[in-house]
Amino acid sequence: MRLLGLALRNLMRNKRRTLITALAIVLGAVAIVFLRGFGNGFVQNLIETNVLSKVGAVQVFRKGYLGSDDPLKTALRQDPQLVARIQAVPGVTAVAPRIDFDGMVSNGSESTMFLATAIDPEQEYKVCPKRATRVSPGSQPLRPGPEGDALIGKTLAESLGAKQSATLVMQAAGPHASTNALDVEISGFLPSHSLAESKRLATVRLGFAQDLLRMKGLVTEYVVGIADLTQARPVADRVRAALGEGYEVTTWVELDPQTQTRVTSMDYTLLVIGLVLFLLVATGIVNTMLMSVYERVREIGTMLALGVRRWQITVLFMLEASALGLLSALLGTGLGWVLVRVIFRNGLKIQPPGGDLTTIYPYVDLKFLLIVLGFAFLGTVLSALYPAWKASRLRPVDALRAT
Amino acid sequence: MHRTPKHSAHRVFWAGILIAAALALPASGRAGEPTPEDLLRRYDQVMSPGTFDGLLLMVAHRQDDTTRTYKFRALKSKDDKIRTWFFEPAAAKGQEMLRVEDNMWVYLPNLKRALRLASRESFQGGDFNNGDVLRVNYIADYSAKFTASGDDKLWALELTAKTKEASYDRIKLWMTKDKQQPTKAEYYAASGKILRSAVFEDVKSFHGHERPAHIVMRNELANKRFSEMTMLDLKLDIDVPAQKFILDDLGR
Repeated sequence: MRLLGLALRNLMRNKRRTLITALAIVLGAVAIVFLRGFGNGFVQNLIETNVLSKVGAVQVFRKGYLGSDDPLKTALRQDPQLVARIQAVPGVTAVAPRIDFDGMVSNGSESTMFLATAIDPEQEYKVCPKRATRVSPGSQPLRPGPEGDALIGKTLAESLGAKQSATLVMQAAGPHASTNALDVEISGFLPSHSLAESKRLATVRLGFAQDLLRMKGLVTEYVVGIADLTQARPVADRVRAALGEGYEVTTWVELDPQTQTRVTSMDYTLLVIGLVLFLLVATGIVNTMLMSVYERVREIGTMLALGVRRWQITVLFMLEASALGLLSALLGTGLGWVLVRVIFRNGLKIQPPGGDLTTIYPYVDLKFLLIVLGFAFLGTVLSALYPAWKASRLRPVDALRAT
Repeated sequence: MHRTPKHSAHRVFWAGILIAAALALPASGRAGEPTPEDLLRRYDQVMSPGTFDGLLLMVAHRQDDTTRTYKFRALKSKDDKIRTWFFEPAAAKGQEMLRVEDNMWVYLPNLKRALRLASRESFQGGDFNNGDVLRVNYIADYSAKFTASGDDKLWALELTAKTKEASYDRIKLWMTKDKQQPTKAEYYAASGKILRSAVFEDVKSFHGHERPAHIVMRNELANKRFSEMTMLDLKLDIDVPAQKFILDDLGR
């Protein structure tokens, strides 16, 4: 206890040096917390735009659908019993039918390709709540109602010169070899988060797609909503077990590997930045602690001559580093957290190239704050190991004679 | 009374003729007029005779007012398989297509691999679909009946798909009464919407086989688009080795 008091007083002896070292630790911690918050917000936004507005957490297909040359020939029967069986699986919150298909859309003089998702508005927003808000500013999502309207990508609409409530013709072929065509009213536009999507995507109603594709009573998949996105795998396993043979059950991680890859690469980037910051701060601490040891050679010699044990010298220096580390780390993570909370309280608006404005909400979780705190503290202590050991190895005679 | 067996056989023979004539009568309508099936068979025979070796030119007029010209050779085997070789444009040079029954493939030289094609997909991005070019077998795919033609010189047929493999749900086809050559056609979707229309022009004799040498296919849903198909040469009754119609032969 006396050593701790001594350590704290030693820290206060050279205020400027202590402040600079503390500042390095604080800034390092703030930077990493800040980056993580930004990364989290970005990943969250990515997952929301891709998983909760498009792919859905878990999907059920008929076996052989994925990778099929002619997937519409491998459709599922629209079956309330099947829905009930999926719904009964623990962790499942909602089940929505869908048909994915492609075709040509034309305005009478020109035509272009489209990729469509046919949804049942009654069920869809329960599994993909973000789809209800993923429309171009000024447009309304599809609501339960009569068939025959569609949302199409803004760029797609522009390329066909189609304004709101224009009528276009969609052509597509279902399991038949022949093409069918139906009028469709453009009730609104999909946002242009990415040009590729804005140029191709369309959302139509399930009944419309079943008419167009001549697939009465058939769907390509059931999309399963779950309570907690991180539980996609276990829920998928349970659904698979409940349905048995004849079905393919996938999660967004498999169906949307792009999002998963971006999440992982974001984690790696943060890890590398964290490591670099850690090393920079650590070398700084080694340096200042070593200076502090050399400065106090005579003092250490005196202490040793007065009977202070070598391990006590080590502990003294370690305590100085620990106190400095702990306080600075606490301050740094706290400051980082406050920054993330305060600066980004209203979200951060970014505009991806060629896309619509989107808001990301940076945040950090307690677990990450504790990890940063731990690393900053342990890092400081580890950096002090060598200087402390060096101090304890001094020979009192040499130390006293030193100038 | 006593009749010779020969006499009896004679009566049976005449009865047979009468019955056959009676059966044939409702189908043929007035004497000498073809049935819808006859015309369908005739269409197949005109447009896609038994075996052939043809050189064709397709000009695809695209919606941006540019055109692209494809020159290709098409070969048909005795058992109704078709293979094509593309010579122009440079981008399509070396491409080949093959149809065996309902399966179609395109061989891409840069990939050195054959990919599957669907008959409904556009033929080289033009307004004919793959089925229009590679699979002309109306008698197998459609049932036909007469409909009002609006012209004394023309027959008008209404074709309805009878298999799922048919390229269109419904076709309205006009053929001349004199030479029984197609003159125009309209292609409809199941919803009743018109998808495309074709005009068959310039009936020519290719080594004795008469057929329209020029077909204009219009995309009725995107009327800036149309494609022209011109038959440059057509040889019939040729001897084609069977191995030309095997998937593994593509690219060789």
